[in-house]
Amino acid sequence: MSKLVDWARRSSPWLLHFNSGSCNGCDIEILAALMPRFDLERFGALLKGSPRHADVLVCTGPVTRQQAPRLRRIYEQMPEPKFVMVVGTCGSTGGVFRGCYNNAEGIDNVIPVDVYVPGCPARPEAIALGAVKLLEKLKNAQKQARGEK
Amino acid sequence: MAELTQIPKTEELKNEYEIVEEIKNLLGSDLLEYKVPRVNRVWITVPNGKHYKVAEHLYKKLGVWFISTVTGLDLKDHFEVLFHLLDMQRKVEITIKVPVSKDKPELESLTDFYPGANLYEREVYDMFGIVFKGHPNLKRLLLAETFPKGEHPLRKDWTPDKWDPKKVQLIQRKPILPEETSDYVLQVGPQTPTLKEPMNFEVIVDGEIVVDVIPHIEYNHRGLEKAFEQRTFIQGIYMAERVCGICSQAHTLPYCDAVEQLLGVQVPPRGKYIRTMVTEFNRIHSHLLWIGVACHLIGWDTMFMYSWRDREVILDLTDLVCGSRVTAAINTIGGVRRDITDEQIHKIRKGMDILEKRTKTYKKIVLEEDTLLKRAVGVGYLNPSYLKAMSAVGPVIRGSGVKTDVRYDDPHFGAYDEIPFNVCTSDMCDIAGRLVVRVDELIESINIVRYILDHLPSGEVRVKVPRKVPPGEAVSHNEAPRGEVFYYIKSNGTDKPERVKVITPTMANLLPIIESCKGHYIADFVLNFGSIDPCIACMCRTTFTDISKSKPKQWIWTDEQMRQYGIEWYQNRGWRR
Repeated sequence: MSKLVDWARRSSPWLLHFNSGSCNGCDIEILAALMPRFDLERFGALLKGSPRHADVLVCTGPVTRQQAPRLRRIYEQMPEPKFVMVVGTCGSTGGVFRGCYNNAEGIDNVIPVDVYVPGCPARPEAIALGAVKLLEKLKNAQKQARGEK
Repeated sequence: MAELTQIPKTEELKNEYEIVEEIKNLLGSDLLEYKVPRVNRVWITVPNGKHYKVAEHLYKKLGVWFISTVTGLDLKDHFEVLFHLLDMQRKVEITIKVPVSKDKPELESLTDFYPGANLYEREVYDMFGIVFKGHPNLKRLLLAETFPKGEHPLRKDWTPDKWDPKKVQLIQRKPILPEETSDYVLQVGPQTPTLKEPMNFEVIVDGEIVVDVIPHIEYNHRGLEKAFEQRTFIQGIYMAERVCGICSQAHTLPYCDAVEQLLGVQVPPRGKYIRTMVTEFNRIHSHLLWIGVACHLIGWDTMFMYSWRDREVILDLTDLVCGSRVTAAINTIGGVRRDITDEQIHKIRKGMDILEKRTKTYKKIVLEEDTLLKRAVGVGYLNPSYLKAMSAVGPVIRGSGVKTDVRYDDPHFGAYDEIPFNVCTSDMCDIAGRLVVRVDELIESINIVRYILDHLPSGEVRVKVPRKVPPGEAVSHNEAPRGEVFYYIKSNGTDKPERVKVITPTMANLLPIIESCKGHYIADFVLNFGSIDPCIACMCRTTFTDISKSKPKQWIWTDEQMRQYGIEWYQNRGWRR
């Protein structure tokens, strides 16, 4: 039974997109990646509106002061096992906004992160690659949990 | 106090001196200083208290109805507040400077004549702690709820406090009751709240009718204006680009233009034309994006996919010319970074042909397709005179038949003074009107790009400029896809600016659009808000309060649930996809 659940999760990860104060550049590229040309949905990915349905949190932006507690809460609302993918340089390190008084300089200062996709903004190809890397990670994690090699 | 600056009168500056003469006659010796640094610009310095009289005169006698923004300045020994007004008849940008003492930072609010200054004055209050007397609702605007009280980050002597992102507390807002609504605040950030942007609205409803909307938009405040002061002018270009990722080019154009005014350099004609072309690329991509999102909001995803597919054409062209899909990064101080080749010109022409064909299809759809018309016609009515009073900008005001466009009203940036184009308007005053304006602008932008390619001058694309910028101040603006983007830059003789002020179009359009939501059904709320071109982010829930029940009931929806509700509501009433 757990094998079946793992297979389903691997074949159809549900994404939740969260903007923690980015400039929108990455956000429109995430959407562009889901559009006909790049079509991330062929990996089974589906954008969802609620954190309670999501497996993967796709996050952008350097986390503003107002957003930090909300990001934490959204992360806590997601069911286990959960994964976080950061899209964009400012989400990874603070990027161009490093040193600004109102942001946390990166999402990993607030919640644990699994995959970083750099780029300002990240190109849809890079986002697709990040998604594939995340799926591999998911697969390995599942194997480990079942005690396989 | 400074003496009157004498500048010889010339024929081209007739309109500018007409305004100066009017103010001189009004104030006499109270006019502390004036200058006319170039065509279309007038700077006036008046003592604190007299600015109210000047604004009254400008508004009532000279018919100046548009306020661009209000800027605050910390000059170490005193503050200065700048009111930027745009005279559309004479095509002059008037800046009224008012010195304010630090001991008693107070001055009179101009909201009596310019209700559109409401949010701008609140932003100045938030950032500097300058009190505007007579303001209807002077509260903090864009700093986080957890920000220390009584601190104002844009004051020069302010030092940031250390805050731990892992420990910031979530402050729950009190449930709103109708009697208490005046305790709640409209909050707008310095960036354009657009697609998937974090934003929160408190919508007060009576049954299914929206009574009031309270947005909270401090979520995206990153402190960019302070960051500009810590970076060099060149680094500032890339900061400006990231104020908003969608209209990135629209931000760098006025930024570079203002710095060039300070340096006193002229961009070579070829550089100007390439800049203008990329700005139009930006507009095409933004409008296509918006058409897709608007159709997504009414549940018509086929159209969403089509327009986003066509948008890839323009992104490829931006990639070809600039080297990046979204943030073009082609403008630099003194010109553009890259020239375009004949091969690229050929490809751009081909791309424009495809887009023109597709845009004509969209226009047909907008005018004929029932799916769209039933949701858009008659919804979100905005009165032109109300929009003028609120100083609304962009397709929102043009959708109500008011012919304003910064490219037309003050064309001395980019190459808009040499390029013929039409200002598209619509008399429908509703969401359909805003749709028609945007589709017409797409065709207009394609024609501008074609004109540029046909008339591209030869020669250099940039001039070398020094890193240090002489002391001075300049304003510049640009018509971004959503409306006016405004930059004020003050330099102090080093390679870093003293102050950079940015204002974006959604700030101006937010209050009018809230007005248009009132009295409509909840089902129309999303599309109505979408029609100014922001989007409610997924994370950002909408809290509803139903006041028709004896005990007010609250529930929370995500954007997606809200969209679904709208679609089902209309389906139950005979609307079909």
